[in-house]
Amino acid sequence: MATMLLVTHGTDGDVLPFVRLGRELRAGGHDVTLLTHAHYAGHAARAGLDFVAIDTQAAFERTLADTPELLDGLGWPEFYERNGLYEQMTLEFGALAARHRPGRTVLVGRHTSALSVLFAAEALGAPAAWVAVAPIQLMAARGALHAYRNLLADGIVRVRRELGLDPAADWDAWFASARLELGLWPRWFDRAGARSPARVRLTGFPLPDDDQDDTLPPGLDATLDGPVRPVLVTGGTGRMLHREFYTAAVEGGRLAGRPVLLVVRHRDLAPDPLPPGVSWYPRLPFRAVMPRVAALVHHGGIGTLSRALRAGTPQVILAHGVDRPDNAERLERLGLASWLPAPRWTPEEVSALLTKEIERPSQAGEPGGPRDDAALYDTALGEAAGRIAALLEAPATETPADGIRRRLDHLSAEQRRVVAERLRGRLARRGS
Amino acid sequence: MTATETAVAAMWAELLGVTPGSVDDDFFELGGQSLTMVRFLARVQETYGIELPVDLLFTGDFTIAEAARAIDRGRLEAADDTEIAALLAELESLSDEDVLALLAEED
Repeated sequence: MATMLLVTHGTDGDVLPFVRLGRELRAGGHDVTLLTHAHYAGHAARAGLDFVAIDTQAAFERTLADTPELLDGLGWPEFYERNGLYEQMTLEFGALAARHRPGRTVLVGRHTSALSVLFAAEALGAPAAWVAVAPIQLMAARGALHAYRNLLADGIVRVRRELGLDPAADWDAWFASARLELGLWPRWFDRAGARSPARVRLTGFPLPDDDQDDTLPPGLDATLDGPVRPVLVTGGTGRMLHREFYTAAVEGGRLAGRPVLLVVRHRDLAPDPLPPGVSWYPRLPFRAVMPRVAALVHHGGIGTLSRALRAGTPQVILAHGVDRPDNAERLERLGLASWLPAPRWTPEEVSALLTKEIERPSQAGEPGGPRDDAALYDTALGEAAGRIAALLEAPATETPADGIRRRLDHLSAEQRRVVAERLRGRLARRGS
Repeated sequence: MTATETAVAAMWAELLGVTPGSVDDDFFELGGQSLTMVRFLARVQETYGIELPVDLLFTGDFTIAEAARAIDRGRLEAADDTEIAALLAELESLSDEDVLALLAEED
């Protein structure tokens, strides 16, 4: 039995996959501690995980309220300072070090943000894994390192000095020090946009809400079974949204002639008063509700979109900021959703796309494709847990094919086609 | 517009949801954010096989003309043929199973 220490930051799309991952690791017989926002203590308890709060509920809400400013030009240095994120890094490190058992511990962090995991791995000699929940985290890694080194260097060097780590250490080396990088999405989603580097192991979507209570609030059954199926609107569980998001989504649904179920934890983000035909819920069990609505209008968060894919619910995505436009574009390329950038968020455009998506014939299941990978959803986190546990064993040696894969990362699509043609030619020659 | 500028303008129109009016239009003034720039850099890599410098994310002053110049410069500097030739030579060391696995990943 090993000690698994998991660190994550963000909202449901970032935290719930770690809760599920913790549950998988625990099922494998390991001791698991989750370090994240106080808001998620209940989730961790229900999954049977030990829990360390890295903040307070009030501090979490304050940080969430600060995030829209990042979309409006607030710099990262000020965001880190005024939300105490350097102190949080030190706190996380202390909790990791206190729970570390030499030779029996794996450190697992959310990709890019969990610097404490890399620092603890460096100080303690434990293996570390970084887990990305959306492709943009990997696409942006080069930029994030640049920001750490150039914009946040003072704070990070201060933390490293406090932790007894060499403040002048090679930034490229420690930033790349995770022995395992996981991407929690399937290959077909990866190949619909910028490809993840070959070193990253893709596992499929985790469906993080799969263990939640499906009980519906009173009266909702009647709406779902009414003469006109409703449209579900949600911007996820954070506040880092374009100011027009909820108005645009709700008005688009109303213009399409549908009742609107509006799901947003923070009531102040929704239109006030609510327009006719709109019901507000702070939270709904999406696993139970999504298969019963006509369509979903959402922000493009990875948890929401993967749940909708699993339910087969038509999706219109009003994507702005962070991972959302990239996620949305991938689905649109695959014919699984339509999306609009913020300058086009008019009720007319949203309504027209809703009609298009609702009328789109459902996609036939290609083997291994978007509609035929129930197994991927069900096994994604089991595979992730297995790879994490294997970090306590000796690392596998690199094969010649691994080297080729790494080099393919740097080629254009056209260059990769040339390589693929050459490979096919070789197989044909061998076969003849 | 040069061919590269035209290609950049088309990428920006798709990424930003607005059509640039001239080669002097600035990415950030058209509504681009740093993660939109990340997506632009990924497209440049996918299209041209070159990795533009990451400090472009933070310049805050980046026009179509400058983007096109950076791409053209990158293409001149990239040792594409050498890289491909080295890669193709390495392919000979692979087993047929490895080749099949690689092809499956490319599909």
